[in-house]
Amino acid sequence: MSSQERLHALDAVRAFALLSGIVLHATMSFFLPIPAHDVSQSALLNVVFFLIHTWRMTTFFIVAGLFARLVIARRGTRGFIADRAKRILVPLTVGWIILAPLTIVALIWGVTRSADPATVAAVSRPSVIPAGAFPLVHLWFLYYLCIFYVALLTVRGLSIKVDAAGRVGRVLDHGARALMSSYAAPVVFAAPIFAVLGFDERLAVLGGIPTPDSSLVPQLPALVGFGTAFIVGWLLHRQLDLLTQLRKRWLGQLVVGLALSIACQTVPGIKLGTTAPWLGHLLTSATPLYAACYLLSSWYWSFGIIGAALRFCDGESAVRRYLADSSYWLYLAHLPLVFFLAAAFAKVPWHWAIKFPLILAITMTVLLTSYHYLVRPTWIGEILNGRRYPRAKRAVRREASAAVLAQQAAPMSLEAEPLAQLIGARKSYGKSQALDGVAIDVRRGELLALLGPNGAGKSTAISLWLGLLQADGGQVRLMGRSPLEVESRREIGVMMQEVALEPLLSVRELVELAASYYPRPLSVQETLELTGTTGLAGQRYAKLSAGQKRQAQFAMAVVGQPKLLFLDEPTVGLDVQAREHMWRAIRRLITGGCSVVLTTHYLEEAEALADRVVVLAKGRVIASGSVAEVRSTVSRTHISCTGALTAEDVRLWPGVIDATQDAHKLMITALDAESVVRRLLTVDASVRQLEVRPADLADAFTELTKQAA
Amino acid sequence: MNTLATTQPPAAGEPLMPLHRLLRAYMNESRSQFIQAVRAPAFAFPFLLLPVPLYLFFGVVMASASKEIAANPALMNYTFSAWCSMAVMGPAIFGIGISLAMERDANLLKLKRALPLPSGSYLIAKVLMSLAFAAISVVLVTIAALVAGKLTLSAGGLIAMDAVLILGAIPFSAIGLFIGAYASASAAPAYANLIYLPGLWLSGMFFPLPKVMQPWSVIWPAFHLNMTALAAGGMKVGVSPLLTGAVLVSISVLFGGLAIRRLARTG
Repeated sequence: MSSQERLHALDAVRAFALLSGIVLHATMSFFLPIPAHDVSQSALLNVVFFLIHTWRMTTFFIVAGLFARLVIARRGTRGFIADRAKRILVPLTVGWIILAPLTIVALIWGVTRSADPATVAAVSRPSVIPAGAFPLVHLWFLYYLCIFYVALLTVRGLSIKVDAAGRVGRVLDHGARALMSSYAAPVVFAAPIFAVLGFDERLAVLGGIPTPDSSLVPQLPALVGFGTAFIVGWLLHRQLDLLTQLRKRWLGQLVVGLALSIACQTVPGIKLGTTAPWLGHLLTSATPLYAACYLLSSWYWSFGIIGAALRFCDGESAVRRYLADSSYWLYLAHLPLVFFLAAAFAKVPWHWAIKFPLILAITMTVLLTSYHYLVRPTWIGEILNGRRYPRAKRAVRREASAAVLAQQAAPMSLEAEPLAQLIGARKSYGKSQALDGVAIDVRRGELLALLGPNGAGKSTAISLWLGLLQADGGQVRLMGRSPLEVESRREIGVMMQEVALEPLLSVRELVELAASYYPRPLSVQETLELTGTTGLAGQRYAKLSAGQKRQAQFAMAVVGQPKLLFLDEPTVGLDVQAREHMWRAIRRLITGGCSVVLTTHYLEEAEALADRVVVLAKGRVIASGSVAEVRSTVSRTHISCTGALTAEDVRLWPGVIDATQDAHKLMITALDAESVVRRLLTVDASVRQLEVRPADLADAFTELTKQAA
Repeated sequence: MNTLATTQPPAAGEPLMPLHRLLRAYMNESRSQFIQAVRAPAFAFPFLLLPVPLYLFFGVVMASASKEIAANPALMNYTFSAWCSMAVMGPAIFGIGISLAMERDANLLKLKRALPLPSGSYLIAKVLMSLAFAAISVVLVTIAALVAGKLTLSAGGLIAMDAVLILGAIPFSAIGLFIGAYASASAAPAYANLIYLPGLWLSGMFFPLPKVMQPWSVIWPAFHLNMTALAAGGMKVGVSPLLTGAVLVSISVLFGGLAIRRLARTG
């Protein structure tokens, strides 16, 4: 377990603690009079609240203490102060100014709307007004973090002066190691807070450490309880390997935590507060027993949860990372919304099992949307998470506008610019690399044949140009722009493989529909004539044969007068006549200035039509050039004749690659045609019907792809 | 390059779409969706024509025989609203959900994404198709109700109710888009039924539910459409029409948004 992995797990723990807080606040209206008194009350949600409340803040402050030392270790004291000022103090002050009034308004609305008059009176005139009263609302945890940071820096400064040798530190490390290696650690860590709250009835009435959200004067229980957690986190970071102890004991700690929680609920004489503290509850001598169970349970839960995260959320996960990044914002912003929704739903006569998830769903949708669009890519995200993530679409837009600017700057180059380009394009699907740094230009007025065996990357290349896929690396341009822009696609026509068009429309209707996408289409009649589909016009697509379907698709591809036409295996399933017709139509289009990218398995088709050929294999360009150029990369020659010699006789001659024979003819594939022919004539006087033919594209293709394999 | 411009008009830089052509693209797409729906008899017949006889038989003849309705004639308005809701839901959930899933499987969506369709025209066309179907079937049921249904609604109330019912096709279209965007062609009918049938029966539209089940009727979108429609017609319902209306809008936004997100990414 490397230290980096551990930190992913702790990120997850922090996010879990914060998000649980949202759940916790959403439960309140279903068993408390604040933030509203819901008509549908739930004992189950009271238990949920109690359980989350038990461990949430303790866990949070353990992780906070650990991360605090991490930041100091990475950035030094000054860096730490700057970082914390930005990420804790700014959200505390700015957040408070915005969130506190909203929260209080939602709270007042909810309480006055739904609770009985006695509660309203009690809330508006609380019996005990704490010294330094100030509504910190849920941002109190940031305030206490600041207090802990100041205390920490002070103690650290002093200890460096007083105990330069680090003796105290070593003693503490030793103690922490001994404690963490047993199940007893929570007993020791719970002791300080037990000293403060062990005999305090507030613990049971409130179901936990009193939340210090209504005063600026630091409250002793919170200072001690959460301060201990913060220190424990700090000590854990001094010896990160101690986390393995937590990892090992995750299940045991959770079981003990749960058992203690159940014990709390059943301590005789304690009736847990399902009502607010100001309504009062009598306590008995059972208080210390309850306090012991409760405070211990909160530590066992915390260690169990951290251990479980180390055990199960170790690695990096995009979803967890996103949630971890977003959780800070979600938690900061959630309270007014949750309280408002609680108030709004309080009187709706639905069951809590509907309302509670609904409140959570609405809250999370609103908050995640706001995070994704307003926080993550902006300066707010930079403040809260330390970095901003630019949105992908924006990057595309920027790239597009850069391209437009480049065009404006150099209008002369427009004519010469390729219609479609892949520039070092990369694309992989999982581990398989479909395109590995491919560069292809499609020039004006040419037919480019894209050849390659199955899986070579042809379809991926075309999908990149069509904007159906996005490259992992390199650039993809279509008409000098990003293929994602609809404007660039208005100048292309497409014929894909394995597409079923709308079966119930006639060919004429399909062509009309396609025509409507383009600014200056051909007339439907012209298109039908050009593509030889006039006879099919009235037929429904479903009734056409496979070849006729290809013809209809071809008509749809050309109707928009495209400058660039992508034809993916256009003549599959066509009879000879229909294929000839399509070839003629393609040639006419090219004469008219249209460029074509053609992929085909019929090499004679490429040979007949292509100006240029690009051969792909295993995601790379292995050959490109005119048909003649590619053909000439293979220096083989085909020789055939009749005579007395057999294939076996000639196979081992120098310069012969292969020899075969049928009833009439001997066929030889040779590298050095001249010497083989000379020897043939010398050895066998009966040689007749001698034919010598240079390599064709199919030979070149076979040879090239064999070399690449 | 000298080969340019025999069939090409002079290069105008940006290939801008004139507005009238853009509108025509939206219109053509919607028209072809509608034509396809009408040309599929297995789809058009049950959804366009069947609601009328069903309503007349169950909502009028059978209902008239019931004692409760004799005591409270306004209940006829409730059966009318319920059958109309059903007529609206079908084409939206099934028509869109299944056709979209099939078109995705057939790579048609992939092709459409590669073509320069105006943004959203394809999905808008599907929603308009289901609105048109909803309008036709609601009007047909309304005519039947005016002839035989003994409605007690005012004219204004009836028009408002019909308008709400027709617009009610939008949230169900969003659900249809959602199913079509996520389910495979073979699974889509199952999912569509899973929303449609329980939605009809468990929303309490056609008969009163047992008491334990009543609070759960709110989880079905059909309940919210029916309640909003009844309230628009001036009937007394237990829930605020603002709330049920808001639920319908939220369903449209949520499911429509999820579908668009999915289709934008994978086609």
